[in-house]
Amino acid sequence: MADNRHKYGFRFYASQSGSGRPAGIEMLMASGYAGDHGGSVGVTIGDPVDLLSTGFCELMNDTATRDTPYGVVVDIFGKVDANGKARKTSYLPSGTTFATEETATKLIVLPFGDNIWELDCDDAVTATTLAAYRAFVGENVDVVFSRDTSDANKPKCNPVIDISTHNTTAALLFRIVGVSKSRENADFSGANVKLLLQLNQGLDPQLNGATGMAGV
Amino acid sequence: MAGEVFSGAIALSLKETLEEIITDQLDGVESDLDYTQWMLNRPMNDAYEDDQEYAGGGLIAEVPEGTELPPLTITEGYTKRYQARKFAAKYIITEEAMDDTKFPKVIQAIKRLKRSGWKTVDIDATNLLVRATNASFPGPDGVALASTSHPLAAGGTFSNMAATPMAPSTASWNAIIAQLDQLVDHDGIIQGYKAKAVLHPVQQRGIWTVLLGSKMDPEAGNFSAINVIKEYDNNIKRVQLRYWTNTTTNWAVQTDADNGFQMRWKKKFKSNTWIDHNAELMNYSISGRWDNGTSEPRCVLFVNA
Repeated sequence: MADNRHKYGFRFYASQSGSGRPAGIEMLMASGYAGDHGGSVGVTIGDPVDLLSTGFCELMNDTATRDTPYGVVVDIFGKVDANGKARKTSYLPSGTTFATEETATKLIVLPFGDNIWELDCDDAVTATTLAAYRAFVGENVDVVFSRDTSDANKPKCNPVIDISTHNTTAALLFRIVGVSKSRENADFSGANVKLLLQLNQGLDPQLNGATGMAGV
Repeated sequence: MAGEVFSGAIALSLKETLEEIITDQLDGVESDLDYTQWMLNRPMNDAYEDDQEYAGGGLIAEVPEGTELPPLTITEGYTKRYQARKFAAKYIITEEAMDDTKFPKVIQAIKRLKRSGWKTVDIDATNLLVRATNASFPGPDGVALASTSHPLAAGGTFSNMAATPMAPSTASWNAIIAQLDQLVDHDGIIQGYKAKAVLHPVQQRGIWTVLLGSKMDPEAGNFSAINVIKEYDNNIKRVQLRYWTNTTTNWAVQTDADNGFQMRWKKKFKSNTWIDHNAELMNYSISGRWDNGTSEPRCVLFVNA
């Protein structure tokens, strides 16, 4: 058994509109935002976010709260240098503060919408064959966060599919729509098998009210 | 990550403060392939191509004088189908990221795609050996590439696995060669095939270099004997496969059987570039269509050690 390479975060895989990509949306993050996924984490490209009533966004399922997924971070502005000026960054440290519009933390977020996303599974025991993974297609599943501190300077939330939660349950956050055909999926008996997900659209108030849709 | 390259993704290259860019090896990838050493490259003319097995009738009979000659028949066996599979990827890069990076080595989208493509080709090819004993990936005759029960078209089976899996040694080589010498053809009659290459994971580089290259037998206690591999099976090619990662102990002997390992190209890699003016995004893509496999399981004798 050989483990497949772990690739970080949500990866845009295909657009349901066929236009090639979802449109990005600029979103703001509150000054001093401190991500918490079993410990302090910063914001990284590939992280999922949810919307807050304050108008800001935050890392999804932050502080062990179950959130409605909104989109995936693809660009970050707001890394404040020692001179107090902000710039682009691929990693926003936890607790980054700003006082002015010029230094405000701005993210470009691709909404989950009905697009297809690729994400790694968190275990190698729920399924161990391609056929077993394919049998999950149509079911719903949750995402779990496996805090990554491999770079101690950049702790990340590390979203992965909580594959053992696969079920038809309506309240689960994502729907499994396929097994990624990336050749990174080398061994289905190994860890980090990559599946294709769509947002369980019923959970997105913009799309279908607040109730999730049962899987099949 | 995420699927598009914004300037935030390459943020530290936006000012000329860096000395060197540390990145993937992007040059010479096509000339550094493993698969070309053990697979036949050939074009593919149609969306799919079929190779068909036909087996002859076997041995003839002793016939009494004046009696009728018994007929033989020809039996159709398995069909190997090569499907042109498409592999593709693209980079979507914002115009700002393109404009603002100070280091051309950071993006190099086309070169990165080319690397990704050729690496995929090589890994896809090596998967034949990675999955050689995996029943979930059967060959055209319904069993895995390496099997003790490959069906013969007109009845019976044959094996292309080492009867006794052993680590590389003169003894194991002799056992393999003996097995190859008595390997049956499609009609079930012993034909015998010649070894032409050893395919092995990188961990066996040292032992195979010694076994194939020593003038005298490299086995302890036998140093005064000749090296039978060099003496009788000279010019055996050693093919070290970097992507054969699921084992350090398996190895395989490639034979001279026709229609063995092959890579059929329907379309060699083609790259495209286009601009999505709506969002000012630069798109770079690569795609290719190929299939690989073998029409003849006798092309290999697999050692599942």
